[in-house]
Amino acid sequence: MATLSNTDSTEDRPAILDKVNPAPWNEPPLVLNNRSFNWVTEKICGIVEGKTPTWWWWCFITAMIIASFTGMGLIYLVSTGVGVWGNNNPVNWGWAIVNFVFWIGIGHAGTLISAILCLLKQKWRTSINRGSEAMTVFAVMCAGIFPLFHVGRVWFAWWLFPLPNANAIWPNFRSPLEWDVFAVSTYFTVSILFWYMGMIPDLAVLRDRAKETWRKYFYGFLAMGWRNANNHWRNFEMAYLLLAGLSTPLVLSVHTIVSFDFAVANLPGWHTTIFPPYFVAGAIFSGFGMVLTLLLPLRAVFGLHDLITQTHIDNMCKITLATGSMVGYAYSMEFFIAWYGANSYEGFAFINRAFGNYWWSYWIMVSCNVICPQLFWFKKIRENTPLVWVISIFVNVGMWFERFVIANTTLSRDFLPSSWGYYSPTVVDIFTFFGTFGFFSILFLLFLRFLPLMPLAEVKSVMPQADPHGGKHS
Amino acid sequence: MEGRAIVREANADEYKSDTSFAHHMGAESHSPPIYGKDLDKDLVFKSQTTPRGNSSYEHPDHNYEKSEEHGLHQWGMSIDLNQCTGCSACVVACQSENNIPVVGKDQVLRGREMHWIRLDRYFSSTQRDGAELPSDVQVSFQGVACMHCETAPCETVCPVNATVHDEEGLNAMAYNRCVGTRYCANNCPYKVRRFNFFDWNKRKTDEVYKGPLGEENDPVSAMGKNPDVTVRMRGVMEKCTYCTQRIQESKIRSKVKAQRSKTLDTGKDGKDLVLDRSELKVADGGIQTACQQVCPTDAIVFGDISDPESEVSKLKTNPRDYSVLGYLSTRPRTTFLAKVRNPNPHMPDHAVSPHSAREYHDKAHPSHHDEGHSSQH
Repeated sequence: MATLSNTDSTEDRPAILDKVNPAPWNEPPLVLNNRSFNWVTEKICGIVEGKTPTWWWWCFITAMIIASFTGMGLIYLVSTGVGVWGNNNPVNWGWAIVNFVFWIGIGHAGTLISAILCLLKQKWRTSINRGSEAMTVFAVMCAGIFPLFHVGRVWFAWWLFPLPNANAIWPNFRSPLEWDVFAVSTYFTVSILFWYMGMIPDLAVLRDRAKETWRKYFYGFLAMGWRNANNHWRNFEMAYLLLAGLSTPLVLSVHTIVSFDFAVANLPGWHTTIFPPYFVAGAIFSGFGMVLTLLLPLRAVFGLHDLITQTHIDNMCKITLATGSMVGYAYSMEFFIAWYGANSYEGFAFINRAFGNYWWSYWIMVSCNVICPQLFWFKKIRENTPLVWVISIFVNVGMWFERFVIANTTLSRDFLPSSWGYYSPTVVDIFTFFGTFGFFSILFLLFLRFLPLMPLAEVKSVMPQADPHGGKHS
Repeated sequence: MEGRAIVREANADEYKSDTSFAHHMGAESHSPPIYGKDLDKDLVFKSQTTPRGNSSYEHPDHNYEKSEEHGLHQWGMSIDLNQCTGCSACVVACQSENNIPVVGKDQVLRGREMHWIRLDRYFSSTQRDGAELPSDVQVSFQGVACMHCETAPCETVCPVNATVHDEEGLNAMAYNRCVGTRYCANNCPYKVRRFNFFDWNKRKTDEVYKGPLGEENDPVSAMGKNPDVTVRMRGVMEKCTYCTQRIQESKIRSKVKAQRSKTLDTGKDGKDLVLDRSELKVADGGIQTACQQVCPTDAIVFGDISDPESEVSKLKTNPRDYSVLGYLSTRPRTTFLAKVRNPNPHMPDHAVSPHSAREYHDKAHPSHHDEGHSSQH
């Protein structure tokens, strides 16, 4: 601040400075305690190679039991009919679509971290990208369950794919649900490719260290003959960059298209142009919320404090804060446009959102999504890891309620008051959704047990030891 | 009615001073005209082509030049709210004509009734709050079924093309193709689409559906079904078809009749016999939908709106004619004739305007200083 006061009088200062003295910027180290390369390898491979911890088994069994709720719920649904859910005539989309958008939103952080942050050369992404990519892939799998099974005749759901047939009937390419099919399946494919391709060098490390025969074959098969050759690395890095470029638009497009499910419809409260950017911001928000929810316990359990440092947590908290504020801006802008647009149906829809039949869900959403993340302005709070974890849970809850508010307040109160209704979930709704957390946990636990949690080479490349000049750039 | 211009009403005095009062209500009365430069074209033109207003985009038309039989008629309906007494006969007739399942109290409470036509009731009163029942209640009835919109919002959102437009302006529902995403029902502003949440036809009529292993009715009750109409399975959407089976039957009957008489006149048969388009047309009044047939006050009129002489066409030129939610530009083929009340001025609950109209004008012009509409207050 002292230097600023010197330049207050503009006459003294030349238009072009002779020399620019950049402010000193101490980049925080991304791996703490001056760890060696070997330590990193031992740490990450040790998680996979060590004995299966008892807690893992307990978690796995619990996850299996919870996941069975989804299985049973779906069997009941398919055998009996969509009526086992709470859907009714004005509210034809209930929890199923809410859950779909919720899970697909969570699946956004992974690709954002690995693709967009890679292109932006954010080095801190290295120690969290593998875990968040895995989260993305599993979240998209959970998401896919709902639009598939919410249809009345799931055995004909393949009609949404443009398969040539004798009747020459094609899907309707004007339908946002049809766009969803392409957007989500593309995203899933590219995410899996990206995740798997990034893992190949680490799988080769695990193969080379393997002692048991099954490990040698398992990782040997997955490593696809990786030999650490120079041309392997050259191709790998180019492919990684290409996939990052390919995934970047996908991060934006998937949730844009999911938002079209609502925005293209003509209902008041859905038919708004703000939806695509607002949904993308919300998706990144919820995605980072989920990354924090998952990685903070892992960091404690596996002792990864030197790899997932306070800098990482700080950065993730700041992104959560930024996207949470964007979402809050979108909420207020929706109200402004509803008033400014002077459409009485639109105006009613938004007043009804905040004060109508589902007012409680609206205020849960606002307090979790807009107010809660504002705590991240404070360094004290960002450094309080348990509190960060609790806030990240609130973010997840808030984002589920956001989708609930959008889907259900609008459908329950649209144009003709004669056809207004109210939606409440049934036990089957609740259990089917709850079970997907079990399904997600099964996949994530398997990932922890069998696949490398962090990209070894990338983590090592951002360590001080990787700099041949020892940090001195002169 | 929340101050929405859904059922449009006026008192007789207001009607005398402004016969087209229904056109001065609703968002479309003060938004750019939906038909744009084609606003003043006649109904026949509007029904046979798809006027795009001032849009520069092309839109496929319903009439195909190469096909002789396509788009022979353009079906439409007019419902006179003045004549509707709210007796619900249309609802019952539709239910038996179209094999619509009875779902039972529990499912109705959950909002899963299957009626293709419903009778909306709106109550209005000057006394807005208070626990006591108001003394000056007015009731407005409106029978609502699928409007067969020309630019139907349900059609664009169906991912499998299960609901499409036919050449005669029907919004057709292909049950076989429907996978049941229910997007169409969400996007229908009139909320007339009905989803088969369960297999209503595979259960005891007085029980809820218990899954594929539950008991079914004995075959006798299936004999009560209309054989001309399909029975829908669970997981598909259904809605009013304008009694497409009756339309089809009449078209076949007219064609057979025309062929017979022409054969008798000309002696030609088989390939030599060529019928004119005009000879294939069904005479006006030749088709009655089930709801129209039973309406004791003839409030419902169905027919060909591409024929300017048909009864329905004439009714649609009535100044009371309006489209519900017209501002959405769905161009419904079913339009309504606004209601005119004639209250006795000496009665204690007499009001200058119907309550629903007053509610609408209070909401639409809260200042009461709007010049264009002040005459209506």
